[in-house]
Amino acid sequence: MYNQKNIRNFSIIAHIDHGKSTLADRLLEYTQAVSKREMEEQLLDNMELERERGITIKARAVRLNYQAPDGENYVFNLIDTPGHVDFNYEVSRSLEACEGALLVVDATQGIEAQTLANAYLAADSGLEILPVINKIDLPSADIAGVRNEIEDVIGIPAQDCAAVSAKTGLNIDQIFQKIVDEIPAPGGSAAAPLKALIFDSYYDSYLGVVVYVRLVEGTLRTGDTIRMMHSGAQFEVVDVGYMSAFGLTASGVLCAGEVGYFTASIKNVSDTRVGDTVTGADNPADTALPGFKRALPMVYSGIYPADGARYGDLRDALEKLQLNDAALSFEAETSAALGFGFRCGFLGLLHMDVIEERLEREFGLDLITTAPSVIYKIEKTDGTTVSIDNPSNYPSPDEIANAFEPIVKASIICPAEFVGGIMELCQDRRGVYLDMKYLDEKRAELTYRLPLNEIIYDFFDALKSRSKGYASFDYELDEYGKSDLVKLDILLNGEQVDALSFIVHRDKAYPRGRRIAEKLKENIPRQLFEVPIQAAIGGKVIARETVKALRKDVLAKCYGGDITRKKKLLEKQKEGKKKMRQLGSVQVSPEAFMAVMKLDE
Amino acid sequence: MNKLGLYLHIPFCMRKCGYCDFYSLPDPSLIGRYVKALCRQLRDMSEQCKEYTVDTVYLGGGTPSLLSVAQLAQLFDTLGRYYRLEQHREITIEVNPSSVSAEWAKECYGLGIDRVSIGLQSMHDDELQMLGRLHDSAQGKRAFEILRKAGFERISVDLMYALPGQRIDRVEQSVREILRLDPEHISAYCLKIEPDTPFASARLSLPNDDVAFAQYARISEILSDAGYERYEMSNFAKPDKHSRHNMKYWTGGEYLGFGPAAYSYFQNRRYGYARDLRAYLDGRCPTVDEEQITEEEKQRERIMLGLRLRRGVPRAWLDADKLKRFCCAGYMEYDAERAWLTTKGIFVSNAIIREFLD
Repeated sequence: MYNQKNIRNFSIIAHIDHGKSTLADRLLEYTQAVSKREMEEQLLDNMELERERGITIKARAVRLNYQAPDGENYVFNLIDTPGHVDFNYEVSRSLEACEGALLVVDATQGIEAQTLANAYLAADSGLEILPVINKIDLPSADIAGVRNEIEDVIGIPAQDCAAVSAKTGLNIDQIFQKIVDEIPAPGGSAAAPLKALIFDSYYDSYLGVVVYVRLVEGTLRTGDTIRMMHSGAQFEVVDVGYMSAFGLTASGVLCAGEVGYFTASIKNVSDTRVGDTVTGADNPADTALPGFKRALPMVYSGIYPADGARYGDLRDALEKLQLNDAALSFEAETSAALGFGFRCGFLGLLHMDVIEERLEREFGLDLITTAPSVIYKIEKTDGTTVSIDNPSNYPSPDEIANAFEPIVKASIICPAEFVGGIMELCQDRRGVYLDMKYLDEKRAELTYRLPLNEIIYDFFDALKSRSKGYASFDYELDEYGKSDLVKLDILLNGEQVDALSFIVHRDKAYPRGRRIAEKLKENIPRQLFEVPIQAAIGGKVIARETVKALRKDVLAKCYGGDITRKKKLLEKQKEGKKKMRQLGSVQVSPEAFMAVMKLDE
Repeated sequence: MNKLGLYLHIPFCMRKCGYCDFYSLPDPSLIGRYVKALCRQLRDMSEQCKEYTVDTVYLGGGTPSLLSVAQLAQLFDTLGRYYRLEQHREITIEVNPSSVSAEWAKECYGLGIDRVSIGLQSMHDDELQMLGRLHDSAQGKRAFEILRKAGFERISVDLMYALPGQRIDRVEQSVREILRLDPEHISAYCLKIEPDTPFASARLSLPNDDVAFAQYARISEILSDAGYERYEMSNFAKPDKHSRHNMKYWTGGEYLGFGPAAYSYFQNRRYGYARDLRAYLDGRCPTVDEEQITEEEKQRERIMLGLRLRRGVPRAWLDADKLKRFCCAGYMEYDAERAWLTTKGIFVSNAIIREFLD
């Protein structure tokens, strides 16, 4: 059964919406791992949220059996990868588990920012890249144009690459032959000391952590005692097998070159970090596989339950999510305005979005979140350096010698006509121009250095609106840069509201302070007394607004039935009031607070 | 003997006005059957009212003036037979200016009805049309004169303000026209857009809150100068001419409502009847919003409703700090015994009442 030369390990990589998941479905169907009728739409993405957003958040893998026209039987291991920049490290580990990658490009869209980023990642991992042009059934498909673009921009031959429609199934068979012919079989010796790369894991309440591995060297058997080379944790393997389209299938053994899973009564995914190397405890390998990194949060935000009584539920929910997501970090935090909550760290914006949505959807929580923050590094006058991810901890100005903020290198691909507007946007966000390349006569790639804190507010939305949705965007952390930062405070009725403070570049403080003051004015309902709103830096007021006093809130008619209605209304308002947040001496609904947090242009 | 008010709901109109969310149907052909059903219910309930004397009766709607004299006589016959009516009583009927004749008015008066409430709403024809009323201002005046001539000494006029696009001088003109008629009582209501009414979907440009308040303040001022007391936030009366029936709603008095959509407050129980004429005609009246009023709840209602009144509530019922803050802001006033809302306070009374009930 184990026949290393007939194994093919590969990933599918693509820009979002270019049809990666649909293609995966089609491959499953054609290898008859799943019949069309049985097949749930997009089987590989099995989280509800993923399906809705059309993106894959966590990698999955599946084994397919393929019989070539010459009668030879092959084992294909398809490893799905998360398609977003926040998960670059996880993508790179998934790619590391493969020898090849199908690079899916939409025949109507051509190369996008994530196409490039993923292609470079695949090339870095030394993979054989097979371009696949998808959606050729669409009337606006430009197959020849996309072939040329792939050759010109990525530099890999594409004249005879597969051109398919994953949706209709057209030409899918071309892909199989190319996988057999062009992707090399894995190497490695089944007799060598065990070296297995962890590329994903998830927590299952019955099995404990299920660890997805690629065996690079050696053999893994049920009953083996194994050790994680980076975390040092040691376990006895309970079960070994592979992932069929229908779930885990026990096989008792995995050998070099194979992809599969094991369980070992592991309680926590933090013991099975992506990128770690599994080896045998008795006959360990000398060196771990290269490339391990601990996933570090880049973006922080305070998350609070809208209903203070649900603090415990929020903690339980975060703990549950963390079982499956070692990159999520959180610690308890208290805000005078928002009560008890958590300071949470995320890999990036999408990661943050996804966690927040899962908390709301899967755990039924209503959340209040504070403005996202990056990690600032402050050299203090006493010679020490501190990292700040929460504006509340920002030192007072006289204690700061130098302030540094994270800078990213951003690549933006957009139709040429939007270049001007996007350059303006980048400039406005304190971007430094690095380069501009034309991918073809119609599309350009812009490269900028941008402060991360300028991206985490509403950069995606601004980019979309300035390019009518055509621009694509990708970034990676570059370095920390010295910066003139200030902490901006918001005062209501003369009292500072901690949850509204944030750190901002001095040049941006004034417009942003104004904008927040205006937003507050729009969203704080009129009260019986007028409410002054101020934005201030270190006690100096830079913007001011006033919520005028309530003028009309009256029930003119109150006869028989109105009394009941009025009382019901009062009860309802009382319920609503429980959810209200005390911002200084002003009560604000969670909805109004969130509206203020959304600082769109 | 305890005193009791009776409310008889007449859920019929010739035409529904665009702003109205009272329960009524544009099908007067059912009135005959309906009056019979009302009489039946009056009779059925009378057993429970043995310990009471009835001192107020109110026929509201809908359009009670659609009832013929014979139908009214039938109702009063039942009332007289099964209820103990007080000598010194108040019997009110709501009248639509478009459906009142001299003969009808005279005979009504003869039946013992001594108070009418007439829905003039405005003295401008364009505003009346916009509101969907069936009468114009001339008809309104004529109806008023007919009622006066028929013998009524207590006439109340309804007025609406804060109409779409309305400027303050237009309201003022309506008020002055109404004063010329010299009614004993005036109810002035701020137009409120109720959900599921034609006005709710009409995207009307209503005066903003500041304008609405200015109108209310002006109406209050003019009526006060003319000798009317604002005894309740929307109701103005010459001395001793307030509506005794309506006062029951605001002072915890007991009343029984009859007919679909009518509400009762009787022996510490508050309930309504479903808005379902068909069921009612079949002799069924399912109750809705039923609640037992505890002592604690009663006290909350006293504050909620008492603050609608000119005389307000005893100071001791209110949180002293909050009261002081509201007085400083010009929302309230007080003397040694009582505290009440000012004109400015009335217009934000929901928010103030909320504060005191917390």
